[in-house]
Amino acid sequence: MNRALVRLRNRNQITLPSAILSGLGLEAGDWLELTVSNSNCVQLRPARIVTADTPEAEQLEHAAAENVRRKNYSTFRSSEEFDRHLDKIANADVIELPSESRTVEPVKMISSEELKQRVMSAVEAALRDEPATYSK
Amino acid sequence: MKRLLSTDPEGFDGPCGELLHRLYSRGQEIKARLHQIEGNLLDGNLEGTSEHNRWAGNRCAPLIDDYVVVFAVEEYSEENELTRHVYLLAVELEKHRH
Repeated sequence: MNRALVRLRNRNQITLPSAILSGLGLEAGDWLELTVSNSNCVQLRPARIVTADTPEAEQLEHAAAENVRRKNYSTFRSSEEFDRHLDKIANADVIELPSESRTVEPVKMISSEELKQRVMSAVEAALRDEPATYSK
Repeated sequence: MKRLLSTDPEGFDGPCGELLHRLYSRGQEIKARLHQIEGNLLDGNLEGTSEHNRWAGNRCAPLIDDYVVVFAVEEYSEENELTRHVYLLAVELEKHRH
């Protein structure tokens, strides 16, 4: 896993290391999906145009259907409004996404005591030759 | 009849913005085609479109090169007025069909 520290600069900008960009095949103009998890982790992942009939496309369409159900979309009443919207997205640096779409699951922290108990439980279960169980 | 057009921010706006950026010199061509798709769908004309995702009932229309616009159309009555609502759900790259 590649890791790096980057500094937040003026105008809220960060520079992504070129090694990471080239490793991901990213270039200027590409979009990144930014997600903030409940545990204050910021995740950036490439948001490329997906290929139809793939799991990624299915996930995207499922999210879009959910957005329709929740009425999370932009609506235009005229061609001119739609045209202005197209100009806006063509020149945008940020597109706000519905907060509930594709969230990152927060990492659940457990205490060392709980970890010890889980390990002991697994060992005891293995000795008894039965599946280990624990409550989440 | 009331006619409404909506776009999904994640599936349509992001990819469409990316496409307009990548194919910058063909921006007018892309926009013209989008307006043509918009007009046809709001008129209830599905000619040239095809079934895209059988289980979801989505359809798709060719946009430019191998890119397609995935959409859904809903018709409902609201306050005694029939509404045709077109949702542009996604811009996707279609696999080559031989």
